Amino acid sequence: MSVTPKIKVRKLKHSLLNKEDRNLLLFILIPVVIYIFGVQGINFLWAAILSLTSETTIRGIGDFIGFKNYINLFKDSIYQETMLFTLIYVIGTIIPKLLLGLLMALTLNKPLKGQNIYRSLLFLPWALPTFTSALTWRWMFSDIGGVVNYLLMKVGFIDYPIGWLGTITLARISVITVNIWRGVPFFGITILAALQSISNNLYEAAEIDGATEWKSFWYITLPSIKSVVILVSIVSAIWTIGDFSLIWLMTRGGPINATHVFSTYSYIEAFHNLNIGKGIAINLSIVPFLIVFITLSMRYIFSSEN
Amino acid sequence: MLKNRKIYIWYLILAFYLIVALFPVYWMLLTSFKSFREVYLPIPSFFPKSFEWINYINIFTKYGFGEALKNSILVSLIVATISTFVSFLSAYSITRLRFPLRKQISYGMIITYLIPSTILFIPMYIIVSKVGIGDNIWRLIAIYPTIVIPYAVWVMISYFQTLQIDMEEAARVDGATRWQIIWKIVFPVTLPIIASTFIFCFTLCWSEYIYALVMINTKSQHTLVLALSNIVVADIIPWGPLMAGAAISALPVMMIYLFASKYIIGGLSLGSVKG
Repeated sequence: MSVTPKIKVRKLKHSLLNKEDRNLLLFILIPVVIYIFGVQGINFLWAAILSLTSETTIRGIGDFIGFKNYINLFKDSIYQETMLFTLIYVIGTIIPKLLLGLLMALTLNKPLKGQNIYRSLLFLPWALPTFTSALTWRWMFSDIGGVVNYLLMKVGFIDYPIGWLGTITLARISVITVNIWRGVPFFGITILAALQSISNNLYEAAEIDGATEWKSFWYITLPSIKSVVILVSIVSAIWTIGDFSLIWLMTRGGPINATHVFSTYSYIEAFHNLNIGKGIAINLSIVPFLIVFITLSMRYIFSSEN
Repeated sequence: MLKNRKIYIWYLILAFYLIVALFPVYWMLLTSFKSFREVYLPIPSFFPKSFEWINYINIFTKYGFGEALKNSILVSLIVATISTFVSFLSAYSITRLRFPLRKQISYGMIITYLIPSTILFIPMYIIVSKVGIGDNIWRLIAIYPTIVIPYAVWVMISYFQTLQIDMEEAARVDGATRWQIIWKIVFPVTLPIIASTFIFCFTLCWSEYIYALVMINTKSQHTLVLALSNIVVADIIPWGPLMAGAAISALPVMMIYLFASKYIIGGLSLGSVKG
């Protein structure tokens, strides 16, 4: 903090509005706010209303049937499968991404030569457009000519090429793998930033006290990055729940609806089966979960601000 | 010293990560340069037997990639430019000016950012077609800012909160107008953040899929994502041209990487980690 002279200078932190400032607000901020919140707000309302109808198509609204769409969802076996896989998808990707991201951050935090180049290179999977990665991996997983099968056979893990996207379990594993491949750099880089903000003094003090490397990791490193790790995991979970491109481009939600997430199932219902009410209901049914996740992340965003 | 030997383990781990991260990228580029026959060799070649440009030619002539490329560039550039500009000024207003509902607006921005855009694609589609925008890329240009601006505003708000206000105060004492303060003092300092936000916004628009899928039905208005996924319809997928298309789609990111990777990574850290 700089030493302020005794003369009273009016604090600019929250300046009173003059005409110029008012114009700035009026012509930029307010239109933006109206646009963003207005569009989203109308969307939600309109979606909520439409989800209470049946036989709605783009041409016109159908009959008002109350919450029937939602009630029917619980009996819908594909919906149940979607919920199940979304759960598997989120948990099956977050945990590996966290562990691998942590390891990556720890590695990049070591005094290795050529740090910056490695960081940029390792970040590439996250930076590439999702559809590029999805298509590339689809090719790699292909049962004809795909390199994954070739490498696994060469190493002796499998005896003949397997259809990675053709069976329920394998398709799920494939999709999860690509999600992890894409997502690890995001965790890695964010955790790295948190690691680098830990003061060295803590480690030196621990070393003087005779702590082993493992002990200082457990008692200094982990607690210091806890809030960042939780925040990143929650945000990643939200994105994973809302994922569309990766699933659609690799499996279209198949085989036999095994890899559907909410967005893909709702897309098929609304645009292939032309049941808009049901499609929207599928999407809105996850709003309660979203509220929980978003509230949690808000808490962690603002706690780490202190 | 024990420390010296231990460091090799970390180099080993690093090598493993590098191989896993880069191999698919390499495979994509490799495939794009192979001839049709070589792509389907029973034993895949890890280096092209013959370097062919045929896939890159075909993707434009046989699969109409050129228009999709043009569409994607237009949409992403326009949306990223407008959004970054508008978000910069909005975030500045929220952090520096005092007015009612300030906090609520910034909370609202974060919440809007966190809500996945894939939740609202159906009503958005209905609204857009009712409003009367034709079946073209302008639908996307009108809609993408709702996805992109909340993120940009949030990142810049975080940045402005850590930006020292001293220089602005000094300029105000010297009699500068708000406009001058913004453009002559704040803007140059914020440039790296603006750059990384622009890059992120551009990438978001570039790879956005579900809105484009739902809102654009005329083939000539398709973006890159749609053009590529259309190739993947038949049973025998033309992987060569497809990989060429994927490589071209990855080009903007690759180029940005060559010149400014620290901006991408820097922007990411700012948006997620505070302090």
